[in-house]
Amino acid sequence: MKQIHWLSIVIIAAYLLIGIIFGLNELYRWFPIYLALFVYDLMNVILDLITFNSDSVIHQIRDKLQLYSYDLDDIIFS
Amino acid sequence: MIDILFGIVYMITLIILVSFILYVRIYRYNYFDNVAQIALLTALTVSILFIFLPTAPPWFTYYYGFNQSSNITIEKQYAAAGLWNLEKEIKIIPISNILWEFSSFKFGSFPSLHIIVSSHIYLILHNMKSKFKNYALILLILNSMGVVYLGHHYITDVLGGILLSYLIVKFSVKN
Repeated sequence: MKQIHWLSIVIIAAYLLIGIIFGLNELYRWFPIYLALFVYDLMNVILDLITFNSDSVIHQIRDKLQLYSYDLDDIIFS
Repeated sequence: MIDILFGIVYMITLIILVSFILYVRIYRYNYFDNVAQIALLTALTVSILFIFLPTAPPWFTYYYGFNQSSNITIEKQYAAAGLWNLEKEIKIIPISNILWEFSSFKFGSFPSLHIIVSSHIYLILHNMKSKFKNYALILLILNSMGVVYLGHHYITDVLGGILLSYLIVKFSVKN
């Protein structure tokens, strides 16, 4: 899919930040937590694919700020 | 007033979770591996449940009903959180709405992740015999009432969340 999921970027940035704060040697201890976040993110992507809402984040924000309401029928039930 | 209290408690749960992980890392380093393991186990369990057992939250059913094939043209309403009401009242940029929009699962009602997180924090602190466990219990109770009051979860989601959290912590934490 075209979208880059926002949470993936946050997770990678946070992981690098942890490496900077606590030292690179400790990254393996944090690995399960970040794996958990990636699983959670993967679940979001899967749900994106199998349900609805496959637009990009930027598109969503733009829609949100300009057009406050839209027809839910088009998104979910089509 | 109670809307805002429960809304704030609901919204700060994520901040509390991050603070808790940092607290364990800095002050209780022995428990850090357990916490990481619990996080991974929770994510796996919850993801499987959300994908294979999608459940609509109460607010969604309230606004859109059970009949999903009907031609719905009403304005899109969002989660009935207290902060959302606050944003609507004072007409600022709907931050909680935008955050909510990032989330793909509108149908992840069972089990409640907020309850799982609060319950994990309480159970782990209880296991550590920490002096903060009473505060975690208050958070758990407030969240349990709040998610039902705000229309995010049913009572069964709360009970299921506590049960799942108990099982995960029981299987993860070494005595």
